[in-house]
Amino acid sequence: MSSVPLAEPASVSESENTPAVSVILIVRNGADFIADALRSIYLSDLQPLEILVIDGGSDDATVSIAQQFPKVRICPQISHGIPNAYNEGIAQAQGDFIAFISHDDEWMPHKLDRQLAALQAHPQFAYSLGLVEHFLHSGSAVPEGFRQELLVAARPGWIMEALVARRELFMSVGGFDASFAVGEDSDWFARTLDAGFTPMMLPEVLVRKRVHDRNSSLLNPDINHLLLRALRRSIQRKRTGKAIDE
Amino acid sequence: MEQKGIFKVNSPYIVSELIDGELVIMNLKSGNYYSVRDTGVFLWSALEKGCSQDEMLALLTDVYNGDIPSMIGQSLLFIKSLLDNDLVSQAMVAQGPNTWAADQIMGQPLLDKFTSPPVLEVFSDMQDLLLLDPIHDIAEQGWPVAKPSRPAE
Repeated sequence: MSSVPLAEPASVSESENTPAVSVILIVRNGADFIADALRSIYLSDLQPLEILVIDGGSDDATVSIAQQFPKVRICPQISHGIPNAYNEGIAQAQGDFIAFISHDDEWMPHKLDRQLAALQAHPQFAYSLGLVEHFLHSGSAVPEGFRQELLVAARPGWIMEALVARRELFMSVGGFDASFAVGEDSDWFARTLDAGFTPMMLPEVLVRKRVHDRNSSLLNPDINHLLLRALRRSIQRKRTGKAIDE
Repeated sequence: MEQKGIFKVNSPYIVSELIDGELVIMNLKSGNYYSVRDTGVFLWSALEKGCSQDEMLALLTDVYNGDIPSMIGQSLLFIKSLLDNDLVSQAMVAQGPNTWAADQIMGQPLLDKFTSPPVLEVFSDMQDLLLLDPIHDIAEQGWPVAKPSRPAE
């Protein structure tokens, strides 16, 4: 594990004209990687207002590592599951914009800066995404079923880690559906599209996603089951013309 | 031994599930997803059970009342759309007797009228999302705290 920063960076570009951004990191037992994720935020050109670490009951050093970083607020998770962890974070966020990061991924230094600037310049967009590149964690084998081609080229990042959204978007389309043990992000993105919100997709790599031996993939039948369920909901919304599930 | 032509689902990149009578199919190569209802579900179910095209059509016309040439024509178009969308491939297997009765194909009550032709509805609005393999951390005990039960299967 590399060293934890102890002082504020010198080149923080916060100003009264910069909207406040809350970063949400949900985690359980992420001690192996969380310092790298938080450091990537700390090294961002634009600093967030706060970093909410929603901890789902870690029994490793996750919390003690996270507490050493500036602007981190540890929020023990009250409810259960990944979707509710996101929802708790959104409910507690103070920023006008909300961004997300996984404990095992890394932001590029310009991520927040670029996405905030894009959303401020184009108020018709409610959220921004960017490209994501995958990298194989040192010493890890490629997980079974993982698409090797993702390690070669960056792809449009329809994932939480690439998302920066205006707070109001969550009021419009709602939070994450707790009936999805996984795949809640796909369901949420489908709902935003069906509600007429298209993303501002920035054509540059903003997130580096770590591939390691605890990842699972679309070829996992449980994920497929839930993804198919999310797709059917989207089909039904399209047929009925109702943007929001009843 | 004689052989017969059947159709095989192009797994693992094609995954599907019947949800409340509607078949939802994902193509993880193209990022398209599909809906199939009514008589199309019957044909897909027969296809999955290893029926040949002739056997599927015989079962279909056995179950459904309607204009037979029309039913066959629309069914052939449906099968072609499955092939064109790379959802299934043709394969040859040893000829064996078809042991499936029409009422066993779907495992649920069937309408007796050919009320709606089999149609493959294609959706392409989430290609980038489906082509980006979403990676989720799943610890052995579930994450962050295992839900007391899985979503309804």
